[in-house]
Order: sequence, then C-alpha cells, then structure tokens
Amino acid sequence: MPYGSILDSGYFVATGSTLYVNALQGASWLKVINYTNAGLTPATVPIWQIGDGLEFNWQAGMLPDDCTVLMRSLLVGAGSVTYSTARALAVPGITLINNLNSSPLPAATANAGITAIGAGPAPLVSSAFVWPTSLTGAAANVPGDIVRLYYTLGALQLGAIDFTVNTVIADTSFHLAYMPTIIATAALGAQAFWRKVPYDPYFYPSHRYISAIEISPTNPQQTIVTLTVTHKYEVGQTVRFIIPKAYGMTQLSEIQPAATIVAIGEADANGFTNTITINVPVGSFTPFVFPLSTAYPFTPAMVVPVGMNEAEALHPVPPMPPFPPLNDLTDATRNTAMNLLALSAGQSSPAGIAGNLIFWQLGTSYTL
Amino acid sequence: MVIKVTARTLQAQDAPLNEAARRLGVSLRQTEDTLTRDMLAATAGMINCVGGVNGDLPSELTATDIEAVTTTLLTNNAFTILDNIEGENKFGTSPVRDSFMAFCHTNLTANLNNVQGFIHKNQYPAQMNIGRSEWGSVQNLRFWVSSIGSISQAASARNADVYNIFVTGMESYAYIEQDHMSATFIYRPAIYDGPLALNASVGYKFGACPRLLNDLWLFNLRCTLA
Repeated sequence: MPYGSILDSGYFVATGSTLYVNALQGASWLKVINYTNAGLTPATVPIWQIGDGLEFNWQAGMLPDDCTVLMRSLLVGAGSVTYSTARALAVPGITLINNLNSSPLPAATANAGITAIGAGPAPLVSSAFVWPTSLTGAAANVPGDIVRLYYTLGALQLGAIDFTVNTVIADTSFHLAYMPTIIATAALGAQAFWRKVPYDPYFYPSHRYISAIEISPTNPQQTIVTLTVTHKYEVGQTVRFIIPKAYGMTQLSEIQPAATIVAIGEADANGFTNTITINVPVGSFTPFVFPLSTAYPFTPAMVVPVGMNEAEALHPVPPMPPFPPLNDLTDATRNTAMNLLALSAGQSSPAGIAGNLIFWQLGTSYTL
Repeated sequence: MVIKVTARTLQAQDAPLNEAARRLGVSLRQTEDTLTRDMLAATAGMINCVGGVNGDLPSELTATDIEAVTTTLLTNNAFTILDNIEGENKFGTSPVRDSFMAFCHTNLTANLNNVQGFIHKNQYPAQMNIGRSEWGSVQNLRFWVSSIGSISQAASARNADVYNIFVTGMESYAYIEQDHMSATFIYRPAIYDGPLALNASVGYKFGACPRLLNDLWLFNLRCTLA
C-alpha cells in the first residue's frame, strides 16, 4: 500500500449482475475477494467448483474488462489454483467507467469499415467489424449503444451524426434505430467506417440531433420530433430548435416562445418511439426533410433544452399526461459525471454469482 | 482536491505548502473552466463551419462562418460584450468593432491568423483592456484562446477533432456559486490533520453550477483545422 493512500472498502452480496464500486476520489487499484468461494472446501456443501473465482486485482492502466484472476484450477487438490487475467481466461473482468471523456472509442481495425447502408427505416449498416464479441465491457456492442459514422461517401448526410443502434449482429451489422429511410446518391466508398461513442456528455440535459419532424396523428396542434439518439427528456421541459435550411422547416428554428414537451414516446410514422411531442403546430411550415448527401456540408438539425414550462409543470391540463404535477426541476443543468469500477458477474468474475459474499478494497494515492 | 505534505517534508513545510497553494490555485480555476466548457459543449446550440475548403464537416473556420454566427446572435438580440476600439492615427493598427467574445482552443491560433479580416491584438489602436489570452478579432468576434479549450475528439465527418468555439453574448451563461460553497482554500497543519501530527494538508473545495441563461445568445461554432 503506498504511503498517503486514500482507502475505501466494503462488501456486497452478489446479485448475478454487474456491480459498481464508486470511485469518487479516483481509483489506483481495486482488490476483490470472493469470500464465499474462498471458504469452500472439498468437504463443504456446496463443494468448490472448477473455475470458482477467489481473488481479483485491478490496477489503473489495465485494459477495459480485465483484471488478474485467482480461481480454482482444473486440478482437484486443495490449493490448486490458477492465476491469470480475465482476458486470458476469456471471462468478464473489471472496467473503469469515467464518463468525463465521451470521445469515440478507436475503431479496432480497418475491418471496422462499413460495407453498405441499406434503404428503409432504421437503415441497416453492414460492417464486418472484428471487435472481440466476447467482450462485455465498454468495448462491446449492444443495442442502445451510440455510434458515429465517418467518410460515408454517397450518404454524406449521415457523417458525424450520432445514432443509437439496435438489432446488433456481431461482426455483421446493426441498425440506425431512429433514422428514417435515406437515399444514397453514390457508392459508399471504401473509406467508410464507424466508431462507438461510449458516453453521453456528462452535463444533462444535452442537445440531440433530429431525424424527423411530423404532425402528430392524434392532435394536429402538436408535433412529433424524432431524435437520432435515445433522449432523456421529460414532459414539461422547454426546448428550442435549430433547423438549418437544408432541412426545410426553418420556421421552427429558434422559435419563440420555446416549445414545451407535452409527451414523450409517441410513435412517429416509422413507428419510432424515441420521440418528443411538442405544443407547436407545424402544419403551415415547410416540411422537414432529412437532407440528401448532395446537401453536404450542413449543420445538423437539433433540439436544445432550455428550461422548464412552470405552468405545465405545476398545473398540467388533463388528460395531458402526466398528472398530477411534474417535477419542475427536471430542466436543471446537472453534472452527471461518474467514476465507477464495473465488476462483471460470473463464476470466474469479480462480481461472482448470485449469493456470493464479495469483499473489496479500493485505493488511490495522493500526489505531491 | 487535496495535497498532503508528509512527515518527510514537515520540518520545512513552508516551501512545499507555498508551491502546493500555487498549484491548487491553478487547479481550482482550471476545474471551474473545464466544468463550464463541458457544460457549454453539451448544452449549447451549434453551428457548423461550412465555408472552408478542407472538405470536412465542419470545415475550417472562415469569415463567412463568423458572419453566420454573428448574424444569428444579432437577430436573436444578443448584446455584444466588449466595446469597440476607436481607430487612431497609428501605423499598422485598425479599429475594432464592438464584439461578442469567442472562446476556443490554442490550436486554432494558426487558423485564426489566416481568416480574412483577422486583426491581431497588437494591431488594436489601444492596448488597454486586452487580456493575455486574447488572440485577435474578426468582424464582431474577439477570440480568446486556452490550452484547455473545448475539443470534441473524432467528431467530424472525416474523423477529425472538432474545435468548439463558444461565441457568447452578454449574460448568455453563468457560473452560479452555491450558498456557503464558494471556493475555499483549506489548510490543516499537522497537529489538526492526524492523531500523530505526521502530515499537513492543503486543499480546496467548491460547489457551483455552470449553465446557460439564454441559449439564443450563445452558440457553439464548430470547426476543424485547415
């Protein structure tokens, strides 16, 4: 233990899911002991099992989803253990989660390239990327992740815009979950590739890009706005719009007074529910059309949250949901930065299996 | 943030404490700047530079992009922050318009030099009220640069870093200090810092919230390098 360390410690009963250790003061190292497994012997019930994790050590500088692992080995005698790393054993390990840096993760290889972007709503992006599919930490790809596309010749309108993905098929494809049909104007080109954006900006609420705007089918005085990335807005928040000429509906741009979100999750014409419904009728406005590749370059259309409609928050009009009144502080600018160590679950992983008693010690060092 | 002075240096603690205090002062202000920077990057509306020729989106900064953001702010009734500097009969100087303040990264200084109509600060007719961080002006924007200016990594259409230039009008954003949580410098001599009086410590703490006051009066002008 280095002199002058800050130490923190604790324990938890494993749930079978990933568990998190808060590292507010930073994290130089973490030691995890599976007290349940350590206490098992061939004579106890249940007896030890091959692969039971015993002790795990993580230190700053290790790769994501990694740590050293001490576990019961294939041998059956007392004291027969294996000492290796989570990556070498291909088991989930420990990942430092620090959302202060939301820079895209590096594209693992040239094979992270995009070979095609399909037509139809939620366009299919084909990519024979070779990120290890065994990874479960920050580098893995799962539905709900955010990706950013680059060098998309023929579909330049998608470049540098963040999208939430769904229907991820490892090493094959994913869908841009909330993107309407695009019209490519030329071949995609050999340079196209994508990168994963690991975190949202840590200040909430942040702006979002718009993929579609249409009149609400249930109320023509209201408008459904579809966003490219899963939004976290709430009813009652006020939002402003930036709609460049390339998108058509410039009348909505910077409209005053700002629009109020009156509903969320209303399905748009494509069935996308990553939407906000606002109290501004756009029937007389120029239609919103996502630009074609030929419109490049342009500024993306976006929603900018600006505050709270107090009247809406305190006295929502039935049947406008939600009722009773809203939390009128949901517009507050919040710093959601976090510094966590994510302990993956599993027999040979630090968060163990459900019911395991896990002790941990976390340390970080002063500097002078 | 806390810096601890150990027993090894306790007998001559003034020097390390003085140095620590200086470092903490820098750390404190840079932390405040960083929080404000990241708030603006996350929540402000944006305008991409599109007037350049580097083929990227956003492109490099040009005079037409500066015109665009200036027009937007003026149309939104934003007030400029800095007064004009009247022209004088001095060689090599040029009058400076009343201006919005534009905060950006030091990496943009070379690009700024090449923007049409750029006036370096040493060409201002009067040299008072010019900060060390100021670089110069173009049209109605005066640019202030910092090594911790905002960069969105790999955020352009060609995988380049995007530089966020926060163009601010009067009272467009604020840094709100919480009650009783203004920045506090805390020094604990060894006798109060531990049962064996082995260590002294110095540190700071603060509680504050940066946020936009009016999103119409501040825009993030995004650009890449030329």
